Amino acid sequence: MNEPSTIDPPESAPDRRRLLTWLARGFLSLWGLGFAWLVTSFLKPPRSQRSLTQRVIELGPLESMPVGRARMVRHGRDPVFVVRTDESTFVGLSGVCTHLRCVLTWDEDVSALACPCHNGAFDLSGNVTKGPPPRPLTRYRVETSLGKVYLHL
Amino acid sequence: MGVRSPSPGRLVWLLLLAPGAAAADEACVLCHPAERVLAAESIHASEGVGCTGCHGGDPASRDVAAAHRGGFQSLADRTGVPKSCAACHADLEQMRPYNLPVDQYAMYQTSQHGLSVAGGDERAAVCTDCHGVHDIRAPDHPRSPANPANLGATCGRCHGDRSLMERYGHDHELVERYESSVHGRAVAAGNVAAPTCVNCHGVHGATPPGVGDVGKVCGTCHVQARVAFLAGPHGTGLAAANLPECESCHSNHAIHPLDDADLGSLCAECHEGDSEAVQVGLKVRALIGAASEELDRAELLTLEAEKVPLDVEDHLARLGEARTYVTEAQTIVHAVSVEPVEEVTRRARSIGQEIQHELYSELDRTNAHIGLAIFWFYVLMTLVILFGYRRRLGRASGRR
Amino acid sequence: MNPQRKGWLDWLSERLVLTEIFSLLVSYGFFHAELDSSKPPREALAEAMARPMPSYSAWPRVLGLAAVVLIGVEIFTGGLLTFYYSPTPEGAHASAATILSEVHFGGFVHQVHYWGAQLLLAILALRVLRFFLQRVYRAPRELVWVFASLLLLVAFHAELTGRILPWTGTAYWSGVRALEVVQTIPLYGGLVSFLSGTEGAVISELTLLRFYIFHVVLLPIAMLTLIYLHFSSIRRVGLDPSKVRASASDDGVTFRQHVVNLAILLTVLVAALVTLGVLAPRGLPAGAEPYATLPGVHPPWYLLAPFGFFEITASWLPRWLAGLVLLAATTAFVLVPFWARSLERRGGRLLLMVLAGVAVAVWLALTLYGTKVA
Repeated sequence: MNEPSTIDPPESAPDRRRLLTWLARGFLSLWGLGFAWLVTSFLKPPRSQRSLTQRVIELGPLESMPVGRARMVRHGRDPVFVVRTDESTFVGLSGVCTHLRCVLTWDEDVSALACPCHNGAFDLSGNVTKGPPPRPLTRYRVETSLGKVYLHL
Repeated sequence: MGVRSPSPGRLVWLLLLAPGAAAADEACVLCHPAERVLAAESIHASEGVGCTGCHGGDPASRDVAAAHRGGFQSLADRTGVPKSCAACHADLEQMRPYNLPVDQYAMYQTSQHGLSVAGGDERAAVCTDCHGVHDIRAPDHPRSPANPANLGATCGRCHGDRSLMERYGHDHELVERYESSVHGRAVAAGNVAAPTCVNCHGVHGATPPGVGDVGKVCGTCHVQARVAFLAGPHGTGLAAANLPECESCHSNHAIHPLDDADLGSLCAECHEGDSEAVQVGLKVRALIGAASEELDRAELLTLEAEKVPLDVEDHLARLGEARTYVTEAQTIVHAVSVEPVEEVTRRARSIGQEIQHELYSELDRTNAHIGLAIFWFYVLMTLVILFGYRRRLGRASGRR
Repeated sequence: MNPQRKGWLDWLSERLVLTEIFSLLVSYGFFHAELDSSKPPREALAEAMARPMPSYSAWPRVLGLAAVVLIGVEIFTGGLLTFYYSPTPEGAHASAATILSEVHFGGFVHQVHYWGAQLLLAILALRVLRFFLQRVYRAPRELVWVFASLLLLVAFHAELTGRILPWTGTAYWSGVRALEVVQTIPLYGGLVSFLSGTEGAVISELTLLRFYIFHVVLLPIAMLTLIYLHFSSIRRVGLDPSKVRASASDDGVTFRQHVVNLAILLTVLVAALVTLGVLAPRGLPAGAEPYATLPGVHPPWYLLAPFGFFEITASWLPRWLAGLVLLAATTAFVLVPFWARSLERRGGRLLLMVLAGVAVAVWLALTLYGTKVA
């Protein structure tokens, strides 16, 4: 540690000594810079705002969801299907089959959720209409407010 | 008292007894109290069908001989039971308000049970064997023997009786095997959608499905599997050889879900050990096994990452999607063809690899260690500068 | 730089009473010299910087300085963590997980805070040990000892309240075990129960909030006050047991050298904390489940000995009496200066050393026993 230091130059070179002093000061001020960077990036709210405690998800403007179409929303680990059945009605249904936890697909022709694994099917009320699923799907509330669609979990 | 009986003979009875119909049953009670108690719990009791509804006789009379006169039937001869029930239950007019079907009797007559009874066999099942004798409850009642949850035991009462089944040359372990099957266990676990005996054998027309029909029966639920099966070489091959479809691999009552590991050895039961068919089985097994392993590894990694903690919700959602592909592959397997399985498992595998790749880079501590090394470089440089400064100060104060 | 040119210091000095601010730092104990208000600020500061003062950076005195630096680090990192932490049973674990997994440098700040606390406890304990061995409790240094030992006890409390905050299963049950121990102590246990809103050893949502307030407000204030009193006492009597009073010429460092030493110490400590945090990071176990007792959860390490003591005496000593023994031992520890001297006079130094050795041995044995039974 006690090696000849950068700011202890020979007396005969005052210019070099001043340069080294400035270099040392510049180097030390890097700490301040790094410190300021650490604090500001810490205080910046994290990118993903979603957390398990969040219970309402904004799905975007009303126009983004055409009638008769379904949108798969991922919240946490389980997908949720949001279907617009007519101008003003939305349906939110869990996207996980109650049989073996396969992820359901939206069958637009018959307006139903189908399970690709064992051909289970669910209607828009979440009821089992076909196949092995033992329980209906969990329903979620979907609301519109000021032209935007919100999914309540 | 709901008098819903327009049949002329019954109507006369009821008209005669109308003022004291409740009291009328009490006359039977005098000698048959136990039956009365049971009957009171039945669905018939609340609909005004009393003792005489099935047995006839004179309920007003307290004389034993007189009471058992006038159309009385003891029904001790079991072969008479179906006809007695059918008197009302096959009558469209009477059943309409209850929205009940009226074809049970007709179907029953086509069933193995019905045929035996018609042939004078007293031991074959009649209505009361499955629905209860006096305490007949609606089938959705939890205590009804015809309730899906109780059906295994109900059928098992006869079909699990060794001495009885031996008379007919039947296997008495079928019900036991069913209960050990994936279906039986699902029912026991409370899954009302899982099949009971009647879902394959028919309800009132209970008859074993014919060899060619097994696949159709299974296909009512396992649609996907059957479509794949029929499209593949087994569909035509087994039919040509007059072999049962699903049963050949899955057996009939003890239906156990086959493990992916069974694929190769199962093929070798019919095919030559080194034939191309066995190779297909082994290939499919390898594909599904590789995908499952990939996903297992990815899942272990997410568990590890969750403890750190890292945000793994998205990874878990994708893992669910990939598991869906594997389950789908297990259905597609029935087409005994490599390509479609390859297609689906490739998707599952790539998701699994993707998750692993992402998590490995997130869990990777090398970056942190490189950062630490750089940090230490700065620390050492800083210490060199500070110690140098300190030394200079010490010398300066020493000179003073 | 040009002394003729007016610098920012002069600019400020014309608008602020700089000496007052300086006095504040001086009176807290960071500096040892007042600023001469009759001189221009630059000159006065240069003079103050050149003034001699005792060196606090030589071993073993450096421990005190290190403790102050660590408390500063803890206050700073803790302050950062409060920006995201939410002290409710529903939100505590989730917010802790957010800090660790989503906030930039969140895990880093958390690790530094955790390891800083462990290092602080170790240094404060080491310091008390060195005071004992070098007899920095004899007159007139009784209060130096009392404040140092109280500081250690308060630091234990700060660590204990802090470890419950993430509301993980282990934190929760570790806290319950700790409260079980504390509540058996007469008077003090009742006070803790009352203040933390606990009934029995049940930790309610009120407990979490109160522990939080203790951890972020009351205990830090208590520690800063104790440090102030401690420093004040040291400034008066010094730490050198061979001298009666503090003298400025002890090691003859200037204030400027002291500042450089402080910077070196800060660098070394931060480097140590960062290294510990990166190489031995603390994960976040699953959230607390008050209705499912986690097996194998110990009380915090510093409470293992009292825990073992309660377990060992459970069959033949009433619990309140065992608590009383614990209270007496703690009091005796804080009041060492007031009885050790007469003991030394009567039985000699050896007796005191043997006594201390026995106390430490009993502590270690009970800790071992506590680990086994917990």
